[in-house]
Amino acid sequence: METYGKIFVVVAVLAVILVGIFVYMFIIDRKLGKLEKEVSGEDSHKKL
Amino acid sequence: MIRQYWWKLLSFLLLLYAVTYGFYVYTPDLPVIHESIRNLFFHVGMWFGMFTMLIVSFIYSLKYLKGFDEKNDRVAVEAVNVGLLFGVLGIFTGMIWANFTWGSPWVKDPKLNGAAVGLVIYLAYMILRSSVEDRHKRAKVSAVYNIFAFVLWIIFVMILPRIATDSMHPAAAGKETTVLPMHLDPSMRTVFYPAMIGWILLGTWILQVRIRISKIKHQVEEF
Repeated sequence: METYGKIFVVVAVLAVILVGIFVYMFIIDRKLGKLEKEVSGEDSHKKL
Repeated sequence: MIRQYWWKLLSFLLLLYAVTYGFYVYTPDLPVIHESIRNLFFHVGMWFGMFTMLIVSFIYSLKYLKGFDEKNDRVAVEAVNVGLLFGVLGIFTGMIWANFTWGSPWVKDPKLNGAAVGLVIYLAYMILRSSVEDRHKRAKVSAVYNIFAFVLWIIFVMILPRIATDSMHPAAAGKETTVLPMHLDPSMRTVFYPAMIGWILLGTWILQVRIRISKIKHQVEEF
C-alpha cells in the first residue's frame, strides 16, 4: 500500500461505510425473518 | 444460516474487494479521464443493477399474465422499485462524473437522454399503478405496460445510443476506447466483473427484503 497521495484514507472510509451498510442490511434481514415467523405463526393459530 | 446468507456475504466480499483493490489496481492513464476511470467499478454497477431488476420485473410480469397469480405481480413491482433506486443513483453518479470530464453535469448525448427517458418510462409505471384502484385491474394493466416498458427501455438505453454516431459516452458505437467492458484493460477486468456481480447481488438482496415485506403486508391485510 503506497502512502503517497493518501488514497488509503478514502479506501478505509469506503470500507467502513460498506461494512456499516451490510451489517444494517443483515439486521433488517434477521428482523424480517422473525416477523415472518410471527405472522405465519399467527396465521396457523387463527386457523385453529 | 449459511445456506440462506452465502450470496449476501459474497456480495459484501465482492464489493469490499471493489472499494479497496479498485483503488490500487493498474488503470491506463487516459487523457481527461485519468484516475476517474475507477468510477467504472461503481457508476456502471448501478446500470448493471438496474438492468437486472428490470429483467426480473419483465419476467414476473409475463408470469403474472400467465395465470394471474398476484404473487408474481408483487415481485414485478418491487423489482421496478429497486431498479428505479439503481437508475436514479446511476444518473446522479453519472452527472458527477460528467461534470468533471465533459465540463457539465448534463450534456446533449443520446446515452444520457436515453437513460433519462428510460427512468421516466418506469416512473410512469409506478404512477400508472397508483392510479388504478381495483387490485386485479391494476395488476393486469401494469403487467401489460411493464412488458412495453422493458422493450422501450432496451431501445432507449441500449440500442439507440449505440447506433447514434454523435455520442461522447464511451459505451457508444464505433468508439475505440478502453472504457467498454470488452476493450477494458485486463487488469481492470479483475475488479470490474466481480464488482458488477457484487452490485447485482446487493440489488437482489434489497429486492428479496422488499418482496418479503410486501408478502407480510399482504398476509396481514388478508385477516
